[in-house]
Amino acid sequence: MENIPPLSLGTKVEQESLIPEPRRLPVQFTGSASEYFRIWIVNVALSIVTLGIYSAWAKVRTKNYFYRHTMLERSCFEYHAVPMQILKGRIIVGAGLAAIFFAKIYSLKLYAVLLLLFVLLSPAIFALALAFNARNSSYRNVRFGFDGTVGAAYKTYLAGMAVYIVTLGLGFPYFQWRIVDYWASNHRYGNQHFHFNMTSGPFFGIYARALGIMLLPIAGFTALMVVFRPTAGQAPVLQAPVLLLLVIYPIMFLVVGYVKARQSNLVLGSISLSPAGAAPSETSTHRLAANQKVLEVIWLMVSNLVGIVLTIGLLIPWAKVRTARYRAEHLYVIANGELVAQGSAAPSGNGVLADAATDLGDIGFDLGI
Amino acid sequence: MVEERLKFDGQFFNGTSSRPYRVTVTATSEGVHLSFLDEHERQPERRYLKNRILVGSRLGDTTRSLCFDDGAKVESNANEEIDRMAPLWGQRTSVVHRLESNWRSVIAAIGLIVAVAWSGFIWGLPWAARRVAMALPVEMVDELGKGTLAALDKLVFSPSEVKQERQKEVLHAFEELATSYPDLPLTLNFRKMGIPNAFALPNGSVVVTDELVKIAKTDEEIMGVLAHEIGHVKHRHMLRMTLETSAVGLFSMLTFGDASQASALFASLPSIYANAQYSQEKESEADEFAISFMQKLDLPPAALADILQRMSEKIGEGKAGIPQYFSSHPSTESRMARLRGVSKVPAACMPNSL
Repeated sequence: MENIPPLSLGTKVEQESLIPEPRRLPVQFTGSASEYFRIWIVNVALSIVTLGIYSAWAKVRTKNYFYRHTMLERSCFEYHAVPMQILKGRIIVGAGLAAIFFAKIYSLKLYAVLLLLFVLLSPAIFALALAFNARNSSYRNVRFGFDGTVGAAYKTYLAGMAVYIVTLGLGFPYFQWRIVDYWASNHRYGNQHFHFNMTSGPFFGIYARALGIMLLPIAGFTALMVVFRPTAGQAPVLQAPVLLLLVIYPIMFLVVGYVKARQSNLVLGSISLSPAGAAPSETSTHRLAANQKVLEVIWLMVSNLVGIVLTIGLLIPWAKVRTARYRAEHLYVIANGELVAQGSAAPSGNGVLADAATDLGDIGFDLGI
Repeated sequence: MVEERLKFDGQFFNGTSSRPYRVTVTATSEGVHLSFLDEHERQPERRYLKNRILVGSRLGDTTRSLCFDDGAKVESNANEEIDRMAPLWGQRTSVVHRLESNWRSVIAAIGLIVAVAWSGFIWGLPWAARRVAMALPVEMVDELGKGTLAALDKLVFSPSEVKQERQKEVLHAFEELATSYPDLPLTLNFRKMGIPNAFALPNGSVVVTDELVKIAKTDEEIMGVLAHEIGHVKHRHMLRMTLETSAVGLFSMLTFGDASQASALFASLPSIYANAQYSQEKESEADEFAISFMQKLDLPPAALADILQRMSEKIGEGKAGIPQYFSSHPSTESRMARLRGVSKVPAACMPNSL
């Protein structure tokens, strides 16, 4: 972190030289585990006392804690969702889950129909949730936005699914890439549009190597088992639980850590931001860059897990803060000129459907900035 | 009242652009006054009266906003100063923040969570599940698991090979028991499965495996097993278990769901533990039911202990290594001790839970 250029406001640079150098702006996370622990424990306690009603407020507070501690050029991000909207959404989701639950008891046919309906609705939920989230996020008093339509979400899913099925699963990276492309290239920050400049090729590279990481130790291990196979009457040296602990878990962490770090770097590093209408040219374009390290990500996951298990959950806040800090500190904005967008401080209203979708659609990846 | 006058720094945003302006905020009980600090882009000073200001809620030491009614806002880290001004502008400071910043209330919150979670899992949830399950009319319960036997037939059972005469004898014993509960739609089914076992489905279907019929030395033993299974039907155990495990799953999803995926493994352990405890509780309840039922019919409850012992010897090997906490049944030793500890004659005070 030492050799990062000193922070400066874009206006100054613009005045001093005619062709401003691109500036590498670090993203920082300033939250602490002890501060978040107190917020988290009060959230859980109040949610219990209010029979879950407070959980909507807790969600907004939690999200805001991480947004408002994420700093870029001395300004933070902010989350604006109104807890009442989230509560309404939660009631709808709760009713849906209850319907599925009772259907499961009454008739398996109805249960299957409801599940199928849920699967069919998931692209729409995905699109609405992204829109809800973006619309309720801001930086420097300008809101983000998401322009991906529900129709485009269905197109993305169907195309990805088709490739996935035709290739008998081998096309999974393509599916993954389509979804990331839909996610990244439809976001907006005020009048600036995000672009995703990557083909599906590198995704195949990542997953091919992940498969290699998964298969090589297994192949090696099988070879060892064959060489040192127990002679008749002798108990096998390795029992199933030991096998799981010694072989499967490390491989799982290795593969997940590898894919997470590499995919984050690749995806974030392929995102650029330029004003509406302008072609993504050199001069007006800002870029993102990420430099997560595979081994560091694996260490983060393993130490978080061990900490959480050993303290029966008390270290969950610590784990979340560490993860947020790691992701922030390995993310940069390469700003080309001023980092200024025009846009409204208040967006158009949210629909009830979007309120419900945001809970269901809280999917693994978010913007990360 | 002494006139409050506080100065703090912040960033001003005009509401149409993300350009930041460094400002000094001078706050009085009347409102705020902003003076712009950037030399090269001097802005006229701005003034907002208190009724045009909305103070953002405090969240730890995060940057906080003063939002103005024209869409502009000031972001500042001067949380203490803003907290002092907010009441003067007629705005409340956050109660939740006071709870979050006080270690005593944090400790109280931990105590509350532990107490509620513990008593909820031990008493609250089983109590609620029993109330709901027992409130449902018989016809509705019949519907449950109507397809279960058919599904099990496809997956684990094969047709029984027990001779017709023997089936008739067991059926006769079963009907003798069933006459005591004419309101339950009890039926008996024979299936081959590979291990000695018996099941009760919510709709009153009781299944005994060929291996169980074979392993039984006396009809009293089989009747003990059947009495235990009728206990499951009578107390609607399967429905109650479904309700309980769903609630536990929902709870752990809501509590730990937003944690990282690494802790998903951790989150599943307490639910497996809770579900095992609920299952053990049902087995004990069915045992108690069998004890009082057998005593009523002048049968020795110890007969059930005898066949349990033989069953566990037969299938025991496969289950080795599962800790008792995560087992679906109480340990066979404790069950046998209970069954053998009671006499043939009913005690004055039955420990039956219903």
